[in-house]
Amino acid sequence: MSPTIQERPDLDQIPVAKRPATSPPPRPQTWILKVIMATTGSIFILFLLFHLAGNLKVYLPDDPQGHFNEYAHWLRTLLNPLVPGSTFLWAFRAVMVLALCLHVYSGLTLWIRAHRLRGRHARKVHSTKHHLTGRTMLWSGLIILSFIIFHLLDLTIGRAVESKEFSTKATYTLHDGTVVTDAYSNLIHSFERAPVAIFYVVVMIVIAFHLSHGIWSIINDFGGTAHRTRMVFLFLADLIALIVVIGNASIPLAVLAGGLTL
Amino acid sequence: MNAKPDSTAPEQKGASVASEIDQLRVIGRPLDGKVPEVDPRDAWTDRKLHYNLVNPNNRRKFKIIVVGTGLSGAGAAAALGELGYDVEVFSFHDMPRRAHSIAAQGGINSPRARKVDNDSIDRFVKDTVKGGDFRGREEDAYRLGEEGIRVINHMQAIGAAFARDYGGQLATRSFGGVQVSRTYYTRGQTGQQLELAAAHALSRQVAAGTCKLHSRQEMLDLIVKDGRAQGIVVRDLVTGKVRALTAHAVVLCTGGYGNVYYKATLAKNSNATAIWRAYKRGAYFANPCFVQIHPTALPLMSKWQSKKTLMSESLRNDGRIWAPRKKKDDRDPNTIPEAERFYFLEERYPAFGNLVPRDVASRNIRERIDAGYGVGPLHNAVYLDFRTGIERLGVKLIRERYSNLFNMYEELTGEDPYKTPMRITPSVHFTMGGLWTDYDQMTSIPGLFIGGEASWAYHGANRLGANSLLSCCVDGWFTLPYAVPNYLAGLLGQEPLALDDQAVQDTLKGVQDGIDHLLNIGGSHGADHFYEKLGAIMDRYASVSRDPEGLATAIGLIRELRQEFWRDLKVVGSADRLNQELETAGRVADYLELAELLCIDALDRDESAGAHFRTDHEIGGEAKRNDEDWCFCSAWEYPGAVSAKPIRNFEPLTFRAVPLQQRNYK
Amino acid sequence: MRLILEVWRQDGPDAEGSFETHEITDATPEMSLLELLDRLNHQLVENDLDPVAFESDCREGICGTCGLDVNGNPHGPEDNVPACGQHVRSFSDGQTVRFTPFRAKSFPVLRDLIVDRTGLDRIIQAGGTISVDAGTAPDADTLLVTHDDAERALDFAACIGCGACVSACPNGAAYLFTGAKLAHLALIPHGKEERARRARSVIAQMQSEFGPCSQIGECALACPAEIPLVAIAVVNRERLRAGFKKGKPN
Repeated sequence: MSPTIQERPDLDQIPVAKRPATSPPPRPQTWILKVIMATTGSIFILFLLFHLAGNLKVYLPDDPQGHFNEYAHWLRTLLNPLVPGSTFLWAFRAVMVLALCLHVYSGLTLWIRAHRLRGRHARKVHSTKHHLTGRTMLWSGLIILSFIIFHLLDLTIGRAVESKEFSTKATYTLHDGTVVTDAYSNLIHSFERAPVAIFYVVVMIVIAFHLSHGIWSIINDFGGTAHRTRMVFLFLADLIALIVVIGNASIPLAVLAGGLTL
Repeated sequence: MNAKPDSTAPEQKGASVASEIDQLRVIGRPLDGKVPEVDPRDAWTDRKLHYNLVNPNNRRKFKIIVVGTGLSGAGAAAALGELGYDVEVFSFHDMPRRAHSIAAQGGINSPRARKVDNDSIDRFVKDTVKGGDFRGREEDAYRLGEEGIRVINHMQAIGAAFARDYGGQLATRSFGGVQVSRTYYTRGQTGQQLELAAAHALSRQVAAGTCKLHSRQEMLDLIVKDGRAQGIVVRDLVTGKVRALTAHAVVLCTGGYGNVYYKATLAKNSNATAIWRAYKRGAYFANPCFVQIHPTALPLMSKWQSKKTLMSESLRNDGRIWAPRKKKDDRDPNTIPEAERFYFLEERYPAFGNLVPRDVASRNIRERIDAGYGVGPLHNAVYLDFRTGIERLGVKLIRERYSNLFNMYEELTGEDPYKTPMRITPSVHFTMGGLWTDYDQMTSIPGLFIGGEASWAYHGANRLGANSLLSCCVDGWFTLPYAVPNYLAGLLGQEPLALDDQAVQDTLKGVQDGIDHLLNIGGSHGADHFYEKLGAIMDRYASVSRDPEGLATAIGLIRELRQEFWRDLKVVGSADRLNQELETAGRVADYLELAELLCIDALDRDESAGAHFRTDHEIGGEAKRNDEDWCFCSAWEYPGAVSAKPIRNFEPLTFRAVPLQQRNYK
Repeated sequence: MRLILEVWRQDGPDAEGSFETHEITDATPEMSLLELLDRLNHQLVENDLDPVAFESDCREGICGTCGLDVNGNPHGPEDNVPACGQHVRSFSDGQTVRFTPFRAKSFPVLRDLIVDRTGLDRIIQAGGTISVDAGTAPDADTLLVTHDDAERALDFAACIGCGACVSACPNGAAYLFTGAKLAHLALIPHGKEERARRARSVIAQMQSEFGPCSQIGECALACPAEIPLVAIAVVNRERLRAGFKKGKPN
């Protein structure tokens, strides 16, 4: 038999095009991370809307302090007496922490993957809204993450950054006589500090950016291809972002302006 | 690149050469096209029945080289891979999908004859043979029609999203030169959809491992030993390495040679090198002078414009061609009143109007432009007007049919064809000539097969619109997969030629020497300089109309230019890396030889036929065929040296199903 | 017109590379950007300098061979136009025009402005095809496809595979390319039998070489074939759909 190419190292082989599956996809696969982002993101959006609804109780006429504290109490004792005490609250917190960890982990992993595959030369970009919000998701996300820690220290735990009047012991008596923790006072005291109030407002704008692109991403990550659905989401993305920023940022502003007091 | 400078002195110009065609060529022998001697309608069935087969277990033992990944190359490679052969595919592009088949626009014919417009395979053959002016085999045309039916089914199945009627059935349209509606299409990008489908089918075989893909490799020579094609030599366009690969059979699907005209509608990289090197290894070159000039291309607007751009012929369905009745009429076309517009195709050819065959349209447009009625900044175009079409069908339907063509036009010219008529001009577009093949698509070198535009089959002296995609598909998917195994069956048990065989080493050395030669001339002009000059010669003397004196002049000029090329060429850079100047130089070297053969053939063929229009053979402006003396295919044989006289062999053509008759589109 | 051309020169994938500046004094507004490079190369060759290596083929916007960034935009300053359709008229006299190769780690530079885009082809090879052997297809007229589906399939099938979407993407993602193929094949009858299998393999291959999508939309603005942005959602839709069809080909 005459020698074939393989047996003749002196005769160079003509290169053959690389075939697929020479390198396996990185794990966890990108699409799974995207689904995690979208799922946890949806949870956060729902949470934000509920949270906002509660926050807006400060604007109710006749004893806003009572309404707000009643809501805080309701949250803490939700599903009583099915489950005792603050079980629901803690379960809810666990879910949120888990979702947050997953969201942050997926986001960072995707960002690292994206960053690694970016090319070398400078790009001129379109000044579209999605460019502004989309390119800054990591940074807005990190700001929001640090805000969450600040917010918990400030109004939930009362460590390091809390107002000097902060107290978990102070109570408030509702109309029906129930004695509840006075979360409202903590809120007002905190926002009476101008830098803190402004920080809250700024972060709300950052959250709006994050939300606006996040909600648009959700429809893509969940594979929504119907034209009308996509348009609705595009609209909702801005609408929800706007509601969240106006609703939430107005509270510290109102406190600063003296509209909301104890 | 193993061409050597030509030492022949330029021929004397003038009529003396025309009468002395014998000084330019030698008459050879008659050739046998190996057409089955049965009724032409049954020829393909009969041939398939008599083909030898290869046992499925033995197929992987046969190595087949396929060069080119266009519609025919990708199809042949994929089909042979599906059957289980060991296929090695070569492309000078980065991916198979880039091949120039992708640029075909209008559609693909298929005589499925579903409508009641009286279409049939017989009518398709009649149209094809008549359209080709009786200079192709009618048996080939029957195969084209018969397999064309399966082509549509197959291409649809592998992903070509053909246009559909509202009932969900395949939509068709009628196309230049025929009176029935048998052209299937996907908007104005049929070639793209077919090419992508074929390239994807090839990709499937690449993933499966039956086809090995070698991209960015340019074929520079054919390895012939014992009278058989046994391999090819390629240059790696990235590293510059020259290597050989041997196989049991070689299939060339490398496209046409229209770029010999410099600024044609072909892609920048389309070239004739593969077929030309095969010619110089002994494959016969059939009818090189049959070059189709497409009537509807965008005109040149500036010196640096790199090429003419084709606008699909399908535009003639709804667009009307006209020129002003006044010379050098520079008014805005929309302001020119109806009475001052000359719809010359509609007036001269009432039966077919704007849908006359390409050559007739091209010649008439060229006549108007040459007579001084051209429009546009350089007065080198006529109008293609959609006003009537839009009035009749509405903008929506016109947009659906031609949106991408209209967008392309607007992109290139900055004018909106929905409002202003397009400006169009004839341009070289397709070459009916190519390597001579017998009925089995095998050349005069056993083991060397040709598919698609690189071969001469089917189209005779003029190709009908939408038949080129069909012929590529039929060759690739439904002819070569039958014909190649028939040849391979006789080689069972033989290994491909060893790479250290003297024939392989000699061929490799020849290629290497050719490259070194090009690099070492050390002249003062890049290859493009000579290429542009060649284009000017070809455009002037060997285009829409030809005359003996002009052709003789052209031959002299080409020889002079070739000498100048080999004396004064400059190739910047080295051979051991990606070097596009070197690539161009090699291709231009081949064009300079091919152009001469083209002109010799045009001078030799002392008649008008189809696209080959000789001003000394016409009746009333129409091509005058001479069936008595010229009813054959010229198959040119390389005499062994560029300076020697090429040998014109001939394959007599007989017409049993479609009787010989003069074309008449009036 | 006078234009200053800053062109990226790089000898090979591992070479350093740098910008080189040249001047063209006789540019005309109707020149395409590729013709501008032709003009430059002609000038370089006449001066015995090494011409700029760049790719192009059909020069009518369908082959997808041309692949370069101009002033940081894939193909050139105009949106949705291939390099061969971009013209000098977009620039003003004396302006600097910067040519760089398509940017993306997945597209290594071979020389100057030529990049290796075969990663896109491997996505197709992984399964962007329909498994029908020559000759085995049923009559195409017996499979009805609605007019609108055929048109919509063509919207996606129009992709020319140039890779501008990847170059445009800050993440080097190939979602638009992949989504266009998946959408095209999901809309025609023959591809449906292997739809889930295709989604799994094609998307796995895409992920192994290209980046994740951040829904920024640069890709659709660059795409010369005007593939709609919804293609990126198609990738996720097809993959999720395939996730619910575990173990089944479709």
